[in-house]
Amino acid sequence: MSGKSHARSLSIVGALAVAAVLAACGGSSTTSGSTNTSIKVSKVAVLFAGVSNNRSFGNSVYDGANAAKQQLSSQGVTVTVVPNLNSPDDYLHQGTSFAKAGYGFELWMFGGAPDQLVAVAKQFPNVTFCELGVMVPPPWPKNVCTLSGEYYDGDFLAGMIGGTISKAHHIATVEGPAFPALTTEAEDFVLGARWVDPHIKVTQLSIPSYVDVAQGQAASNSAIAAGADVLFPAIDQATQGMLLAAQSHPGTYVIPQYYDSHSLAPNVVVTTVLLGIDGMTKSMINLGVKGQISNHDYHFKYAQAGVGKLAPYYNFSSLITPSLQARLSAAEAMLTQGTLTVPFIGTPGQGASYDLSQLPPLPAG
Amino acid sequence: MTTAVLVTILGGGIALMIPVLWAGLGELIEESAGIINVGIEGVMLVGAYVGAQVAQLTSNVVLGLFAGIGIGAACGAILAYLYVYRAVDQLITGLMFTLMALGLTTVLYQKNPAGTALAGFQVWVIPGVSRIPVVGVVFRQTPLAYFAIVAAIAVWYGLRHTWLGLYIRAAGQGAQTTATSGVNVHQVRAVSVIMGCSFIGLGGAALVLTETGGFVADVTNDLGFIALAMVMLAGWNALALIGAAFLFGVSDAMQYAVQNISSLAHVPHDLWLSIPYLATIFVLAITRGRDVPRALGIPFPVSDQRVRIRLGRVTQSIRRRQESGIRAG
Repeated sequence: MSGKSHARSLSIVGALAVAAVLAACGGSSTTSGSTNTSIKVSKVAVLFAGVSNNRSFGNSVYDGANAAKQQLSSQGVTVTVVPNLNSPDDYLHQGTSFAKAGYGFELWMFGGAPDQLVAVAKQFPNVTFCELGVMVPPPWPKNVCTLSGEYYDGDFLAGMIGGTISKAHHIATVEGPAFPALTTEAEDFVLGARWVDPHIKVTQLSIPSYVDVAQGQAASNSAIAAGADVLFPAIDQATQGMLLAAQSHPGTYVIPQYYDSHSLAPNVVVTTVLLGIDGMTKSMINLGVKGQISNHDYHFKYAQAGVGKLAPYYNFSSLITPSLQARLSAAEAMLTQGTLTVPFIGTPGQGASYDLSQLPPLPAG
Repeated sequence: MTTAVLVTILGGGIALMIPVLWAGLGELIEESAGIINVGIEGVMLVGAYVGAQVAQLTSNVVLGLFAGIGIGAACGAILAYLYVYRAVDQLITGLMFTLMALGLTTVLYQKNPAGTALAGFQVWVIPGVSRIPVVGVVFRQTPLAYFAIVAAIAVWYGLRHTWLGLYIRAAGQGAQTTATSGVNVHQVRAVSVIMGCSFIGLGGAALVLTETGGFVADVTNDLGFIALAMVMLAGWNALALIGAAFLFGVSDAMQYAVQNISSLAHVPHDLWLSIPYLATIFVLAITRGRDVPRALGIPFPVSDQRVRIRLGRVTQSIRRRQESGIRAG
C-alpha cells in the first residue's frame, strides 16, 4: 500500500470513527451509585425511536426512563438511555451490543422489531428483553416480554372530542408507516368520533415517515382541503407539520399524541392524548431491575401509570361543553369499570367500518 | 377533484420543490465541474440546523438564511479539500459526511433545540395574477420560491455564457484536457464545490425557514438525495431542473389527494412517491446518459494537475514560437 492510499484509508476510517462516536453519543447517559440487595439487575438499557426532546413519543420515553434513572441511581443501578434508533436493524445491533456489555435488562420502546427481539433474546438467554407494542408469535423465549397498554382508550376519548367539536362533521387522521400498535391509535380515534357522530365523514391519509415535518404538513393541508377541520396524528415529530398546517387554516383543530403539545401551537391544540408512555417506561424499568419480569405481555389498563389520559384543554375549555364533558366522564367511568372495551384495531381503515352496535350505547350528554 | 384540492396539490408541490431546487442547483454546479457530492444531504442538514439556530437566536429569518449559506460554504471548503485536493473517493467521503452531519446535528439539536415554532418567511402575494383560479397559488409563495426560479435561470446562463461557466463545464468534461489548456482544474472545482454547497446550505435553511417551522432531527429526510436524482433527471440543465423539482413536488403532494379518491385508494401511496424516480431512470435510459459530464466523479490528482499545467505551458510556448516564426517568415 502506498503512503497516499494508506493515508486515504486512514482518513476514511477516521471519518467512520467520528460518525460512529457522534451517533453513539446521541444523548446516551448513564448513572450509577451504591449497591442495594433488593436489586437483581444493575444495568438497564432503554432503546427508543425518536430523540429525547422532540416533544413526541421519544420525549415521553425519555422522561419515563430519566425518572426511573434518578430514582434508581442511589441503589447502584445504571440506566443507559439510547435515543434515535429508528429501524429494526438498529435494535438488533444495539441490543446485541448492550447484552454483550453485561446489561441484564433491555427495554425496546419501538414497536417494529419483534423478529429482532426474539433473535437477540435467543442469543443472550441470561438477559431479559421487552418491547413495546409488538406481537411475538409463540413459543416465546423465557427471557422475552412485551408491553402493551390500552392507550388507545385515550385515542377513543380524543375521537369523541373530535367528533363533537367538528363543525364540518369531517375529521382526518394522518398515519406514519403502519404497524398494528400505531394503526389502532388512528382507528380508535375514528371509532370514538363515530360513536358520538355515526355519520361523520372520515379522511385517513398515510405518509411515508414518522419524522418528516414537510410531509406531515402536506398531508394535513390535503386533509383540510378535503374539508376536515379536526386532525389527529399517528405520527411522531411529523406532527409539527400538522400543527403548521392547522395554524394556517383558522378553525382547524388538532389533537396530538404522546407529549403535551399545547405550547407548540396553543391556538390549535385542543388537548393531547398523553398515552402514558413515560409511566409505562418507568414501571417496566422498576420491574426489570427487581428481576420480576416473566415471558408474557405486560398490559396496562386505562389510567394505569397514566395510560390513555388526556392533557388539559388550556385555551379550549369552552369547546368542551358540559354535555361533552358529561359524556367523556361517563366514558372514562365505563372504561375503568370495564363496561366499555375499546377494540384494538390493527388493520388500517377498520375504524371507519367497525360495527357500532358492538359498543355500548352512547352515554347521555 | 375540487378546486381546493387542486390548489393544495399545486401549492404543496411548489412548497416541497423549493428546498430541492436550491439544493439541486448547488449539486448541478458541482457535478458540472466533475464532482459528485453525495454529501449533499449532510450539507443540507447542517444548513438547516444553523439556519434555524441563527434565526431563533436573532429573531431574523434573513440572518438565518445567510447563516445557512455561510455554513454551506464552510462545508464546501472542507469537502473541496477532500474531493479536489486530497482526491478521495467522492461517494464514500460524501456518504461519511452525511452520516457525520446527521449525528452532529442530532446531538446538537438534543443539546440546543433549534426552534420548534419559528416564524418563517412571509408569503409574497403578486397582485392581480394571484387571484387567477387554481394557478393563482403559484403567485402566493415565499420570496425564496421566486428567488429560486431566478437563481435557476442565473445558473443556467452562468454555466453557458460566462468564462467561469465555461471553465466549470470544461473541468467536468475532461480535467486533463482542461488542465493542458492552462486552466487550474483544482481551483475551478474547488470554487464550484464551495459555490454549490452554499446553494445546498441555503436549501437546508429554506426548508426550516419556510416549510417545517424549525429544525427537528433528520429534518431533511433524504431531500438531498432526491435533489441528486433530480439533477440527473434534468440532464444537468438548470432550467430543466425547475421542471424536475416541480414534478417531484407535485407528485409528492398529489399522493395525499389521491388517497382521498376512493377509486384510487387501493393504489399504494408509495407508488405515487416513486414517480420522480421512475421518471429519472426512464430519462437516463432513453438518453443513455448523453449529457453526463464525462469526468463526473473522477478525481484529478494534484500531481497530474502539475504535469498537465507544465505540459500546457510547454505546448503554448511551442505554439507561440511557431506563430512568431510564421510571422517572421
